[in-house]
Amino acid sequence: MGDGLRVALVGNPNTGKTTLFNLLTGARERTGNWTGVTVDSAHGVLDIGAEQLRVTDLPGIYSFSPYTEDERVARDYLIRNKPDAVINIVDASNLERSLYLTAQLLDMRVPLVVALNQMDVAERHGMRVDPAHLAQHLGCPVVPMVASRGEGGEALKQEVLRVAQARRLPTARVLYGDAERSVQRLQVCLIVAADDAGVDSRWLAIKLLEQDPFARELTKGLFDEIAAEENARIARHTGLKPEAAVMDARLGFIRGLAHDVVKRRLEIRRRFSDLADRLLLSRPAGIPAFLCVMYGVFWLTVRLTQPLVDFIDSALSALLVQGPRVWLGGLGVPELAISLLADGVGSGLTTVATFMPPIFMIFLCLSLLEESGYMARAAFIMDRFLNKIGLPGKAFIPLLVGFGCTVPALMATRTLEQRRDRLLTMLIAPFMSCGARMPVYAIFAMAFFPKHGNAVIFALYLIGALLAILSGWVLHRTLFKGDASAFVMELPPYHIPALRGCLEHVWYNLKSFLVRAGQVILLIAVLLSLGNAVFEWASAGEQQAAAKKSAAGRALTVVLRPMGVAEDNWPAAAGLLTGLMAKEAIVGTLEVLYAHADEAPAPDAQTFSLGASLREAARGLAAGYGRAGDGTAPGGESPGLLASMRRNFGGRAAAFAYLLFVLIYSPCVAALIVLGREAGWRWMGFAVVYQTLLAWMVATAFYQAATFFEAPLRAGLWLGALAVLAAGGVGLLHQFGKRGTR
Amino acid sequence: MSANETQGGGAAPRCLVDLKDGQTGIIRKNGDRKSTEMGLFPGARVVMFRNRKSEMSVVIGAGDARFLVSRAIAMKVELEG
Repeated sequence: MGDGLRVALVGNPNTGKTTLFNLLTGARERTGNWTGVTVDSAHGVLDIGAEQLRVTDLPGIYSFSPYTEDERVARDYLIRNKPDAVINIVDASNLERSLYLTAQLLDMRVPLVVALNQMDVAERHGMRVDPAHLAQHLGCPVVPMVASRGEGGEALKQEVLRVAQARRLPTARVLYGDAERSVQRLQVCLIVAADDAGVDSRWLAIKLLEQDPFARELTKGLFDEIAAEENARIARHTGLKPEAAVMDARLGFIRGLAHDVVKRRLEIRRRFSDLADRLLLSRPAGIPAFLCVMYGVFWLTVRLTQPLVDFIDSALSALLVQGPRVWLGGLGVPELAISLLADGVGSGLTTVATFMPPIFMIFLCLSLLEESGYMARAAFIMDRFLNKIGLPGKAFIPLLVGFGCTVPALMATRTLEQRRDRLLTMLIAPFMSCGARMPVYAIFAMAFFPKHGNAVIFALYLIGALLAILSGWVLHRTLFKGDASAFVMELPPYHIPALRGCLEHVWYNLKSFLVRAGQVILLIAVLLSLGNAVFEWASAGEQQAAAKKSAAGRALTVVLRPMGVAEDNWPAAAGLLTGLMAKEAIVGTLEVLYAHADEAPAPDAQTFSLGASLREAARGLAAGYGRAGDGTAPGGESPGLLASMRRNFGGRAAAFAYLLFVLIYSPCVAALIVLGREAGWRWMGFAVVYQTLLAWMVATAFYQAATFFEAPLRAGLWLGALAVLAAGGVGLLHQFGKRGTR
Repeated sequence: MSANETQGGGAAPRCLVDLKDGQTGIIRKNGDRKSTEMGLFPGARVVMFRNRKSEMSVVIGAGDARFLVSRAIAMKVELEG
């Protein structure tokens, strides 16, 4: 397949590009209703008869000018990979706008096929587009389509195959009016350099006149002087900056083309979406509607799924942990093997399974928000608030995605034009509590806040969002000074989300999430069990093992003691370490380590009954949904884990301080790798230090304040020290900002 | 009712940010490259859907598309008189 024909799919956002990709390849790539769904490239295979073509779906872009990361990704792909055919999906109902990218593709001299999509929408809006006439002007095949209904798919495949096999280039070129002579003169000089760089010499000349940094990089600055002379000549003749002259000529080409091939009504029709926006973007209705939507997401994710989480936890604990322990013990299997299978594999699988309901729901909610078109409106609502921390409104979209998972949130920052905005958004996105932390909150809520669990979890989400704003505010005034950059964002029309598409998207995300996190959790659970068993075996006697564990625990918990983690509560510290691999691993770690540390009475054949345990779990589930709406976290007296947690944390203050630490401290390894790749390793290091230090300070401040009356002098000293540390930290950031460390 | 029927009399707006809700205009010149590439180019007919001084952005329609445009950019989009 590596030697097969390669096809790239390029087009504006919201033109049905991903739908077309799925139609061509039979893939199940996610589609979305806001700009930037495909922030990275996706790959699939297109079968045409005996031929197999490799198709790459590039990010949705408006032009190849290098404003955003996705524009750079698309341009670099076309230049470096030289596909055998490029499908340019063009929106027939927004022809002029789509043709800007087409004109740039003509400049690049790539083997081009135009897929003229959304012909039905154009017709509905009173426009008649003539595909044959357009093909004549562009000098390449133009296939009219309605990709959402599969119409035109076959014709497109045949054209793509023909163009790819012959690598047929379009015959049309954009002529650049007053700048054309300069383009031609520069092109002659660039023939060898363009050949060396593997690009078209005319395209390189146009890009140099536009002062494109990538073109200057390709020519190693050798032609800057000649380009400057030509630019001066254009400026003298037109009174315009050369890039403006080039753009004017390109727009002239597009206008002429559209004038020739489109017949339309002139007025702009109002749509249902416009009427809905009058309400949903207004201040009196928009903000309450936004808050209702956000609370709805929280309610569905936390409240609705919690009884199910409890049920899965109880049922699978009986089936995979307690049951195997009893059955294997009865068969005389050695303790080490029982420990590995029941406490390692069984606990790990149980932990992974409990994530499924909340993660499913958070991804479903995000998918519905995206598909419906509301996500872009939320960016408008948040615009004025984000401006106060120096971010444009559209930075809200990555932040919202962060409630699902930090990794896609970091990727979604690619749609922001300014590097400053991207960096700032990437640094505050991890504060948006991701779905992986939910199981940790849920288990602590059950153990310590049985009556007000939902309120506690909601408070954690809120604190995360507030800390994101606070951090944004501090960083905006220290390291990232400057105003929010101005932005333009397309508002997609409202859609009724296609449930099947949403569920496919959710399933895709859930599967990859569970596989990724599941592997880590299972591995950690097995390693911890194994380590524990080996430790006990090597310590020759339980007393000696307990003494060694206690010594190790003291070392682990020494920095966590001010936030309420006692020295014998070392599993809590170990949980934070494994949580760096994946936040969900914290619960698994506590489950395994407390089981060993507390020497909880293991169930035996007399006391354990699988049927009774499952019936109890089912009763809990029925009771949980029966009680829906009373704000009570169900769960009752389960398992020893809750009792162990209560015993080890000692009280609510220490438990909530621990949750604050989990909420704020360093992102997991997967997120850190993406952060390093997207922002640079220096910023990744900054994020680890900043977030972990902030987590420790907030958790310590909370614990000391909450226990103030128990030891006023100690708490007072700690709070004073933290205030000094916070002031020192801000001062340090300020100094870095002054020195222009950016 | 088509949006351009609401075009009122009085002094002609000079730039996009001067349009009131429901008013339409034709772009004469756009000093912002990104928004030009997204479809707000000279000759394009635009309609203002939402323009409040207290808000950082305006909502406009151009062809069949709707855009959220920062006021700073809207001020760079000049309209025909």
